Amino acid sequence: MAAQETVETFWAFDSFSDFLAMGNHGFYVWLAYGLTFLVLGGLAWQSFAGHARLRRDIAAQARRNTSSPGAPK
Amino acid sequence: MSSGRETDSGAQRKPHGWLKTLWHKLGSPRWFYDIGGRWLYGFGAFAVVLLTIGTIWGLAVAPIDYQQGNSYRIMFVHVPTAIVAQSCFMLCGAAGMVLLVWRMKMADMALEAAVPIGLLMSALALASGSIWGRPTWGAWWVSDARTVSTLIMLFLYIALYALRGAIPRAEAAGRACAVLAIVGLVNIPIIKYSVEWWNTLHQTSSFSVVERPAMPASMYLPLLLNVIGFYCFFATVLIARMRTLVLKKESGARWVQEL
Repeated sequence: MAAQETVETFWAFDSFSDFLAMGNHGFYVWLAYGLTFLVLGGLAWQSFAGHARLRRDIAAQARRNTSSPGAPK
Repeated sequence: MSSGRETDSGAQRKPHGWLKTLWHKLGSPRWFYDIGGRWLYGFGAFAVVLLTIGTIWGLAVAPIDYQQGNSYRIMFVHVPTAIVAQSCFMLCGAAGMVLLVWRMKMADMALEAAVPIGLLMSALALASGSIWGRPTWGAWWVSDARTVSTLIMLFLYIALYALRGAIPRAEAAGRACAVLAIVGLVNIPIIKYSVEWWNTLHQTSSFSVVERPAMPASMYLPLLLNVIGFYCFFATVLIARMRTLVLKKESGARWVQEL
C-alpha cells in the first residue's frame, strides 16, 4: 500500500498532467481514442455532406427543368 | 417483376390493420425519407450527449484497473465498436432476407447503407484492440479465435462493399450482397462464443446490457452509456445514408423534385 494517503476525489487523477500521462499508457489510450473519434467524425461528416450535395444537385436539376421552355410540368 | 416493386401508393392503399399499414409504410422510400429526417435529430442528440458523458466518465472518472492500469480505458471505445459492428452485420443479414423474400427496396438500401458503417466499426474494434494488446499482451496482434473471427467479419464487410461496386446492374448487385450477408451470418455466433468454445487469449465478456456485470458500477456505467451512445450514432449515420440512397434512387420522382 502507498505510504502517502491520497484523498478520494471525483476524478481518477490527481492532476491534469497525470490525466494526460495515463500512468505509462498515455500513448496507447490517446491513440485508441483519437483514432476512434477521428473515424466517427469523418463517417458522420461524409454521410451528411453526401446528402447535402445530392440535395443541391437535384435542386439545380429541377431548376434547369422548369426554366427551359416547353419543359413538362 | 414490376409487381413486386413497392411504390408510394403502397402507403395509401386501404389499410388492413395497423401492422400491414406499418409494413407498407416501411416499404415506402418517401415515408422513410420524411420520418427519418425527424428521427435523425433525436438519435444524433442522444449520441452526442451519451458519448460525451460516457467518454469523459471512462477516461477521467472511472477508477484505474488494478491489473491493467490505465490501458483498460480503451475498453470504453473498443467494446462498443465491436458490439455495433456485430449488430450491424445481423442487420445486413436480416435486410438481405427481407430483400430476397419480399423484394423490398428499403431493405436493399438499408444493406447498402450499413456496410460502410460496419466496415469502419469492425476496423476500429480491431485497431483499438490491437493498441490495447501492445501494453497488455505484449504484441500488436495475437491470433486467437476471437481476433481471427472478427478479422473475418471485417473481410466480409470489405467483400460486401466491393461486390456492390463490381456488379453494374443494381438489382443483381443487391441480390448478390443479400446472399453474401446471409451466408456471412454464420460468423456472428462464432465471434460471440469464440471466447467460450476455444481457449482464447482474448478474455471472456464481462459486460452485458441485460445482466448484472462482473465489474463495478463505476466501470460498468460509462461503458453502458458508450454502448448506447454508439448504437445511437450508428442509427443516426445509417438513417442519413439511407436517406441519401432514397434520393439517389428516386431522383426522377416528382416528390423528390418538389423537395
